[in-house]
Amino acid sequence: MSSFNLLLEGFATALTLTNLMYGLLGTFLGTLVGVLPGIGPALAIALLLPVTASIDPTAAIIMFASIYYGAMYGGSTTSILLNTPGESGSVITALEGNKMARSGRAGAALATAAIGSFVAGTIATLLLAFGAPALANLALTIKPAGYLALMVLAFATVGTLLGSSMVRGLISLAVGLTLGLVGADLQSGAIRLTFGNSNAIDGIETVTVIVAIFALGEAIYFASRFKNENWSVLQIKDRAWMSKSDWKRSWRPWLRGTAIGFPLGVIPAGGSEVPTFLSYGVEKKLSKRKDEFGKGAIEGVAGPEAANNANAAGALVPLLALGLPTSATAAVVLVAFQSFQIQPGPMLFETNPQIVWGLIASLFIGNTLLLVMNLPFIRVWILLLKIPRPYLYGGIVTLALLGAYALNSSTFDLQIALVIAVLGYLFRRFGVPLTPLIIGLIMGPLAEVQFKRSLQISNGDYGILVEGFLPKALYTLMFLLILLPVFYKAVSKRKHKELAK
Amino acid sequence: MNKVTQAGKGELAFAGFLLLLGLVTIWDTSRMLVPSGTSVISPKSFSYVIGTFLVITSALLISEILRGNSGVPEGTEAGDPFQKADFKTMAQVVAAITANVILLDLLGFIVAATVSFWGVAYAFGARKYLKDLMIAIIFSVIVYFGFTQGLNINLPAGIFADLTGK
Repeated sequence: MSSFNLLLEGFATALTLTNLMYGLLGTFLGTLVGVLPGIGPALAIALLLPVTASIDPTAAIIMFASIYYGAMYGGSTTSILLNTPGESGSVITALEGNKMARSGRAGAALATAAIGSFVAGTIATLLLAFGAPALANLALTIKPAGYLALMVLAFATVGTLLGSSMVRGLISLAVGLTLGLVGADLQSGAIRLTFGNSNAIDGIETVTVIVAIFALGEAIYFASRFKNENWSVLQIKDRAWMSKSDWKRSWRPWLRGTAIGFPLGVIPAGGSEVPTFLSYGVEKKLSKRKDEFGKGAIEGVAGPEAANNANAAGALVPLLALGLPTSATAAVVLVAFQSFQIQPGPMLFETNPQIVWGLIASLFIGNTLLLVMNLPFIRVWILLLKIPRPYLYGGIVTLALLGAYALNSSTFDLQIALVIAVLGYLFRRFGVPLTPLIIGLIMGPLAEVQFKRSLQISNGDYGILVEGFLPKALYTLMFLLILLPVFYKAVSKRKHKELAK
Repeated sequence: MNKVTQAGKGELAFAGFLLLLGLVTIWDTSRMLVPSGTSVISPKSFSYVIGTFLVITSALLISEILRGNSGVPEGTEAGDPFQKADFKTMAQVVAAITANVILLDLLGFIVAATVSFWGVAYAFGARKYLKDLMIAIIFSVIVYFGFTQGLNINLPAGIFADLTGK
């Protein structure tokens, strides 16, 4: 059957009354949690994971797709109306969007963000629907050693691209990989790093770590620094819609943003920071009204917002086709799949076509629902931003602890959460990025499986790890990625010295 | 060596702790019991790789700090003046979280959640004690019944076990 027919069947799955209701609930919850300041999409999904525990897998995955887009959408609302940057992908949106809101154009900024997200999301989901199965087909021929190389490359890019310092990115990755070791080894059953604690044999729960690091660690960090900083929610003075000239100025940035965001989601570029930043730069360069940038240029909201959404859809391509998450948010979606005993990867399209195509179809539906629901309801969402900060943090911390506990009804998970929360504080304090830790924690055990499979095939000969074209090419690429910046730095330093003489 | 500031010392301790964690991983791997009948590949090899990776990256971080390249706290710029952490507020938040962890099994979800909500709100400057407490209780009760009745997720009833019929 062609992808097109399968997609139609996916719509048939997603459009049953029950599944549609779950989709609707997902967009609602996703937006609700995403709008709350300090909660990004990754945390929103992790917090909502227990909610889906008792429903049918197909419905749950559909709900997650809607939460995924809903949380992204909610985040942009927050960054436009609140003078504090929320999660990383929305920082750029805040740059111009907040300025627009200050000069009484909040409605136009929200509208271009919403419609741009819809346009980018729809195009990107189409690309996903046809790209992911193709990639999955291709991936069926990849051997374990090739897989391992892909994962190591993803580790390297996520570890080195994020944050200001390469060492700190790699440290974060190493800690994540170490946390991933804890517990019984998947194949041999050998027990690692539990120090006699029988609760630890099942390993450290990923959701616990995500919730602890993003919600609890954030609350502790905020308490240590920004307690007295003021937040002011900007009013929407105009209608939440765009004028003719707004449309004219927005549509090209939407398309360009999509073109930048999607491919950078497919390759492991470490999340939405890079594409939104790039899109902003492009729009600034191409704009005829450069003077407006920094004062509230609509292009500066339209482009990055589209890039952000297209990036989120792009990240689903390697996730579904290879089982490889390239951002913290995608990693959480992987965990959501795993909680239903579904392992994304090339086989997914063969073994669970109903789920995968239902998911893709519900991305289209969720995207449309968001557009229809959010612009008219924007004033309702804004009420959420007016929750006083003490109550907001009280609520987030308490819900996060509930999320850490509820998955396994385990007090041990809560104790782990407390430790990880402190670690999350230290990471923020010392400028260590958090995403590599999440990727390492989730992907470490998967990488080990491929590592062992390769060596089993070769009977223990390590040479197999670099045998064949794919591993060789990927490792070469990795070394270039790591060494080039180092080399470049050394050369430019030397030049500086010579110039100084 | 004079480049290491007060904050740098804290970061050195952090990096040292991670180095120790790496060494512990290697040590734990070396004394790991491998179940008999395990195939060609021992589960030790991957652990050794990870432990070594952590040791190397922590050592690099230490050398980076010693050369004066301290980490830039999230949400600030490299040149920003150093800001001392507000340890008092921080300790209050950590205490509220810890209280939740301890109280959950002892007194049940509603009490634990009320305490953590109220405690964190207090740390972030809420001072209308009675109103704050009422909001914390209402929040906890709604969440409790929402999850246990609405979503069938089990939460400890604790001291309210008789009232809630569990």
